[in-house]
Amino acid sequence: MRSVIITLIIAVGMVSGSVMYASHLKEQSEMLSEITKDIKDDIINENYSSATDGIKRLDKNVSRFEKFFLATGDHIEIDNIKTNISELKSYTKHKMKGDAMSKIYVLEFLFEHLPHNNQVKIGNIL
Amino acid sequence: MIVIIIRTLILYGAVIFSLRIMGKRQIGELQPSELVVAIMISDVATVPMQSLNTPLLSGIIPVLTLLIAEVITSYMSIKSGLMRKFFMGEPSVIIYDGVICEKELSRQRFNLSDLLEELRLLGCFDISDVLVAVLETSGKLSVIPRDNARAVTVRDLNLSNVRKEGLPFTVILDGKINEYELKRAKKSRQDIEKEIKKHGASKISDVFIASIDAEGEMFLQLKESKRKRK
Repeated sequence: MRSVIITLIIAVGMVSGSVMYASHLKEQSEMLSEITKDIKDDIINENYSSATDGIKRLDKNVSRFEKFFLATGDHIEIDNIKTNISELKSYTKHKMKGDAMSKIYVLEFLFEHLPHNNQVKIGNIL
Repeated sequence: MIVIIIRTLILYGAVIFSLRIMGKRQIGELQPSELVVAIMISDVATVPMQSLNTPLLSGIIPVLTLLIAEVITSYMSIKSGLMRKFFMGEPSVIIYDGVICEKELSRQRFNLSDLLEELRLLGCFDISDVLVAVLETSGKLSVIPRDNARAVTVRDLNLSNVRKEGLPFTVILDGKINEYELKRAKKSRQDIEKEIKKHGASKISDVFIASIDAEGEMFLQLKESKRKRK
């Protein structure tokens, strides 16, 4: 009976943990997407100093998010994000609009994709 | 490298914890589901050990999920005969009253060579000595020999004054008194100390193992260092 109770506690913990994790991941993904959108607007308007501040804010938030994400997510995803942010930083610094925009679109995709693997859907289960 | 060591130790702890919760059934692999769980746990736990890109929880969560599935399955099997039949199957009588059930043998895809091999491994070298053979859900064969082929029992010989049998009380283990066993044996510490002196031990910490059987006789072995000095 004791093992059944311990098992049920673990089951409840895992399910509630998963739900909370998925919810937090979605929140973080939306927040990072918002920051990326602001940076995109700044680059379109060629406001590079504001874009640089935005990139610093993005970098800071990604570093904070990294600790949470690495517990269950694929490490390669975070590596991809950080690589693209570094490249975006460099393109923005040198005012290379086209290259910076391509990195922005990549980052938008990566941030939107973050919660996808954790969604309960047939595609993920199969 | 240190990271791999730490991850391995964490996963090792998680697997041991899961096996302890699943209990003796799992360790004994009494049922097919337990064999499945044992194989899956070992496979799943090794993935994050080897790859630093894979998060640790990717190993721990599947192990805990298997633990939950296994405990719930075994609990449901206790509560419901139908569930027990579904998850574990039923034993099959392969030989009944000395006659091999060909239909059952064929249903289990258990050929005659397999049957004879299992009987030999159980010490039945002559199939005519077997009264009943049952293929258990664990895959093991259990055998009831014919009356004239089994070992003689005390009842057969109609003996009285037979030596009492029972679970012995292991009162000392590795130089330490086991209080629970001592209580079960209805002995005191002083009784044990007196008894071990008769066997050549001066104190309890010199004794490697001491047990008392149902007749009250003590078996004692001194620690190697004490034996060598003697």
